Amino acid sequence: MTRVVVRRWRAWAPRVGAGALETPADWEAWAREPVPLGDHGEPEVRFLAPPVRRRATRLTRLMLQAAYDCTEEAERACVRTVFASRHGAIHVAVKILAEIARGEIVSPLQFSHSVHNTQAGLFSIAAGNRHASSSIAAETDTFAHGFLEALLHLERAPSEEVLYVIGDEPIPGSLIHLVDEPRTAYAAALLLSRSGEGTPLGFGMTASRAPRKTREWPDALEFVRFLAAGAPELTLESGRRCWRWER
Amino acid sequence: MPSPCKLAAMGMVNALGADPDAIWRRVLAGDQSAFAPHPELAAGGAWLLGGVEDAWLPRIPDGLARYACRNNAFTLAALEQIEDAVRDAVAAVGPERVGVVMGTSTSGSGECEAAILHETRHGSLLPEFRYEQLELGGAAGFLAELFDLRGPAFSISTACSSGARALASARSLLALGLCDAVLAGGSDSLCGLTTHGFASLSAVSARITNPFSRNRDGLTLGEGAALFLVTRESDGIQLLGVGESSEAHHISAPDPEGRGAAASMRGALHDAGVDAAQVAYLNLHGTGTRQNDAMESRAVAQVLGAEVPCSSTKPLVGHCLGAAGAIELAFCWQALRARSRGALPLIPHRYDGESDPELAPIRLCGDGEAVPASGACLVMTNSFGFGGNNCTLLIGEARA
Repeated sequence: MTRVVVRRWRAWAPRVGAGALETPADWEAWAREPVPLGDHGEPEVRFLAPPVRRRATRLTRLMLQAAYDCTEEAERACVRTVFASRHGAIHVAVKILAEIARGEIVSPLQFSHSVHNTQAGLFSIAAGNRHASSSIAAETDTFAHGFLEALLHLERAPSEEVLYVIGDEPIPGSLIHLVDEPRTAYAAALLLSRSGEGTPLGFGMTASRAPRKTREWPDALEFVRFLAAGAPELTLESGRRCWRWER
Repeated sequence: MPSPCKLAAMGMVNALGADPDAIWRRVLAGDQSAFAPHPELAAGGAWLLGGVEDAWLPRIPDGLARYACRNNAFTLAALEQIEDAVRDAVAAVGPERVGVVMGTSTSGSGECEAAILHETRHGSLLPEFRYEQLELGGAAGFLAELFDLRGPAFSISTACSSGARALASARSLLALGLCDAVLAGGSDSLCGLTTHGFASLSAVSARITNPFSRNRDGLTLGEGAALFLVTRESDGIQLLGVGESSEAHHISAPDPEGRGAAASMRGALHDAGVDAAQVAYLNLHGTGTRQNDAMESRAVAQVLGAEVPCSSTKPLVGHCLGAAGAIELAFCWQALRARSRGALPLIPHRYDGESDPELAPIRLCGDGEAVPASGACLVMTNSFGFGGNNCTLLIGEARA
């Protein structure tokens, strides 16, 4: 198994109705007694300059809130970053495609927020971070692959820290009927390193042929539940491979 | 010293064709005849695009219809050129030890466009449309399904540096011991979203892109795929250095000082443990936009000096976006393979020859040039993406 330390973690998801789960205490309570999560609402991202905040999509707000909550100012400029999202900027892309279908002109601002690494780029600009950054997607197995990509960055830079941010929201319009997944808007961030204070974990992956079960929660929130509950291990079967984390 | 990472086999498709040897001959000749107008994609403009012919593309197997998209047809075209080597590698190490990392920025966006157009006109998506055709992760998932692989399989999407970054992750998958072989590369197909998007940024030239000229006025879009079989053998052509940086500047424009680009190139040299004097050729990002070429020439002059031979291959195949980093690495790989009698052939830099006195001095390759390349011969390629995401790769023959 590969050793890694979760130095800090944060997550953000709306409650059903109003309010949000945003502090470790909120998530510890949720881990003891999971309640349904909502698909409406978004974080305030007060740390963003007003013009940036106005233009930020909901996914940007979700991911940047988790990223900022999980890091202190001095860390923000010097961590490597990995951003993961199954669907990424699908809301923006679909909006642009509908405009094209109606023969309308595409706005340059919309287009520049349609790339998968939008959140990584905005984080780099807001935090003044000039370090390596990648943005990934891996279908229904996105969370674990993003975690792996963070470990690949630690392989390249063993003395550095990697901020891993994942987020998604229910996909737009009729596309939603094409996927089978929890309809939750959320983001989670993990500050990872090879050593130091925090929760040390072993991480491994093995080949598997066990069928993937329909999930009650997004994989990332299963992982948050594992951290918040202090459970000894977490196993996620993805249909092709089996991921495992151990305390 | 980095762990072994052999670029054991390479397949590719782009506007110059779907046969790597034929593509290489045209690249070395500086052949610019592949560009043509594609009114169906050109966002109302009369642009030239580096398009791939449908006739060159294989059919996606019936069992994988849910992954059927033009993007994956490019990947399959590249794969078929190296299929024997890939099958041998999978058989040798086992499907659980083979990973996939694909760079893409579009995936099946073109197919999504058709589905949404249908919805706009008829009230529902095309019935055969599947989310796997569209989603970015499908670019890697397709290859995992095709060979029933059980190793990690994911897509990297950092705009125009995606394809380069896929190779960086492939090397780390080997180094971390999670894989013994990795299929890594990039695939990107032209679609309305990208052509309309780049049109909105006024980034596209009305002619063939003219990088580093005083007259340069934008990029030319292209498409294609390149796929490498990456193994942990220590001979052959090795990925020796990876450099990465972020711009922290602007979502769609580079830092004019070229600091991010310079950091990326320095990072690759440092990672490989070599110095700039050992670099025999640089494949530039060289998009032909005012901003890229100004900052890139500055960064190159600063890190490599004014004497290292450079060229951009975007005037030959266009800017292949998420596939560009992999395709341009493929050209570098072919140059190393084409070394003969101690000389490395240089890819000519095609432009109107009117150098820009405001750019930092760099040495652009002319026709039919070669440089002495005995012993360690290193070749570098730059990829700089939207969102300020930079990646530089350095490859060379295994060192004794």
